[in-house]
Amino acid sequence: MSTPADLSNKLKLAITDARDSGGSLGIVSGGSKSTAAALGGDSTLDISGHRGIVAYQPTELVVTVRAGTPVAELDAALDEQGQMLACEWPDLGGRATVGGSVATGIAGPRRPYGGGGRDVVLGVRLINGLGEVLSFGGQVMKNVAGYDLSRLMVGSRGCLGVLLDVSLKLVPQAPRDITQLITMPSSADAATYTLNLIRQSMPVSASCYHNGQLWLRLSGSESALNKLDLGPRVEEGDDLSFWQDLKNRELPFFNNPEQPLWRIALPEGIGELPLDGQILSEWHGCLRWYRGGADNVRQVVSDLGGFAQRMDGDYATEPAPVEQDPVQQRWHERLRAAFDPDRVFNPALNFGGATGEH
Amino acid sequence: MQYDFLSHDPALDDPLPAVDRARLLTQLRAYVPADTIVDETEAMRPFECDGLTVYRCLPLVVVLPHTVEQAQSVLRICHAEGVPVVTRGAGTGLSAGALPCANGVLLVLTRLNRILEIDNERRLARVEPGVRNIAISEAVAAFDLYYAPDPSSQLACSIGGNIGENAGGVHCLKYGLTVNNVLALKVLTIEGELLELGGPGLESPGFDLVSLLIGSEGMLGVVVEITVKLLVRPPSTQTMMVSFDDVAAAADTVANIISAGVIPAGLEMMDNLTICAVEEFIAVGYPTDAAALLLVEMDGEEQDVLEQLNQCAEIARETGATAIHVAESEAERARLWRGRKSAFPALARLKPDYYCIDGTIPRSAIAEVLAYIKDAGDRAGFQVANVFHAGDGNLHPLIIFDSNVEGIIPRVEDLAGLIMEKCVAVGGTITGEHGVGREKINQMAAQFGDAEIAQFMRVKEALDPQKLLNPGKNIPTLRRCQEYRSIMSSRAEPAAAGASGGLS
Repeated sequence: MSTPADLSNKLKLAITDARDSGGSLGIVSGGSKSTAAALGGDSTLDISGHRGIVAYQPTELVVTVRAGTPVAELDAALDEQGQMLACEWPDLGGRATVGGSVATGIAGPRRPYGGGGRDVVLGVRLINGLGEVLSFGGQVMKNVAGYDLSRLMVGSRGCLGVLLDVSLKLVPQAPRDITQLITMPSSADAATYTLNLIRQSMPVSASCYHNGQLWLRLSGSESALNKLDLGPRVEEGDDLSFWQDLKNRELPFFNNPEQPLWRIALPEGIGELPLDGQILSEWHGCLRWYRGGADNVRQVVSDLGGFAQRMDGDYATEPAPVEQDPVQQRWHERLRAAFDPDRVFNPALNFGGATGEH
Repeated sequence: MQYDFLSHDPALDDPLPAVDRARLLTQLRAYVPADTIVDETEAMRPFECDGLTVYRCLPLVVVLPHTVEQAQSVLRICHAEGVPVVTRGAGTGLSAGALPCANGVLLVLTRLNRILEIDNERRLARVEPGVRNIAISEAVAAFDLYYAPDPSSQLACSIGGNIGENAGGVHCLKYGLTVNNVLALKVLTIEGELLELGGPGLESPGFDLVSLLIGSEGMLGVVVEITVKLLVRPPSTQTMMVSFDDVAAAADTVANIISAGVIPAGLEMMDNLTICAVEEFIAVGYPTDAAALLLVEMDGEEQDVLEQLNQCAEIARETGATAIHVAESEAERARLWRGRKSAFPALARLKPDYYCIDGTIPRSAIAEVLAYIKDAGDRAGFQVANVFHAGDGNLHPLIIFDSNVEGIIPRVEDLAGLIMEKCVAVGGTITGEHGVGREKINQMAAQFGDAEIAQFMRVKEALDPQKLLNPGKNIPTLRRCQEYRSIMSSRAEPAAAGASGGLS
């Protein structure tokens, strides 16, 4: 457990100083998603010391937490109360922080069944590029006062402001999770099988297909799960470590630095990808991990209505293919200037011409 | 009767551009068909207000395009000529968000009402903004799918308006608001350019502009196409009616259900005044002797539903419920909900007018705030009914009054202001799902500081530099905020003050 500390004033001062001196800052926290060098900036603003849970009332299903708090630490606190975040953020060996997870818009295995970052963020406190501390959204479930600038932070990669605190919507953990292991001839069959269960209102909470096997997690009441008969179940304990290793990219599939790793987001219902190499699918095919040497990954994926990003190395700077739509670019540039007119934050990240992970 | 409490004030609002109406009409006629243009005063009357009828204003002209291209032409003209544009759907909004601008065009999108695509496999529907909320669920019912957000006005309200306000409903506790159920938007910028945001997948590169547009009250762009997520209809749904002889016990039951780890599909509360009004109106079988009533709905797998319903009943009993009844048939279940959805019209029969407030608060504060509302209402001499989304902490206090009584409107607005400020004081918000519109423009100063307001304005100016889209709504000027705060702080004993706290 780390020591909780409120560094709001220190961070504000650093931002004001950088701005006043015409400088810029690369915002880092746990360092699990990017290096400072990849973000640009004359100096580094490390928010990892700004950590701790600010408020947590389990009956309100809301937690307010400082951005530098490790995801693993937050998860542990929620677990004690039988609650969780529906978006199942990777904890990346304890290094992933709440701020980085919001800023990169990342989500774990539960994403299609429970929701993503935009579905859990209720409010934020942030410092904009003018050095002003601002509060948007709040701690209640429904709030439509003003523009929804808290959800806008999800996936904004620190380019609109430095997150201080984030209020997150929680859900109760299901009474029980079970994992089925089912042999399937192809990822398309696995996706169809999973979707059929969803059409029957089965409580699917994660799916993964790799090497002819479909791993399927179902979460619900004891009695409802006992009625299911989908074949052999994965031993209790092993299932937990499988999903943990999947979300943290620690399965053997991910451990092969010889070849590039790509993260590919796709619409539902896309068949096999015409790419040579190894593929691991999640989210009933809406998320695929590709290991291989193909040089046309972006084009192939973009033609299928999705987008791809390199995940090994400094993936934060790896530009994802965006629509080369001038209006989109104008809106991105102007919004960024509306929060950070002097471009103090993460100057190497470019939303105008090339956009990163979201 | 027209009230100018919140009408455009050159001292407190941004100046409205002067517009040459004849020139505007000539331009419009050159680019859009004559049958889309309504410019006679009497014909424009039906468009002078939305669901909050106390605020009225005639626009310069109403345009009802048949196509996206026509809407685009209207925006291009308005942008080139510097003419304000207010976009409107069915006009069921309750915050004067679609109140026309006296110097502007009212762009009504109800004719863009086609369901463009139903993708049964991927559980999506692509629709135009004028499609009514309920029409989506009706169109996909054959596939056992539905669109989850269900505002009480869902028979009439359009999906475009739902986007503008980030509409909720009785089932958003479990299934989320509009923002959690929309995947992609096509938006016209004020310049008339078409922008595609989001996509059929779960992720898109760049900023989450879909989330930014949802709930932006038509101030950043004009939404012309929406891709919504559809859900699979659950195999089992059960509704339970729980009575209490004490409002606080009902409120505590809500908090206890949630803290037990149960998320009902719906968790609604109504007080005795509402119960009696509904019973007199349509007689659905509510117990008129109860001080408060909870409607608890569970859906999902049959076994789970039964277990959770029993768990809730147990909690309710322990917290002091006086009677518990589970709907015995689908017909009875529908009847119990019809009562809930008819609550506003039922209350409207008590006095000629009602004023609905929309604050959201932490669940743990429900009992405290309900007591405050009762007390403040008594002191101000008004009956206030409560029927609301208790599971979300989203209150809908209804101040019941007769607008024919001289000088009553400022008193109503005063009481409403007090209730909204109380919501903010306990850690909540002035609006959970109805939007700020023009109605709550002053209370934004209670919710936000100047720095936040200025940030909102920079966002607005980034996407609509001339501030032509829905001017005067949602975000107050800093001048208005300062004026409001100074009036608030000068009020010694708020509820007893005879003078209006309003700005004029």
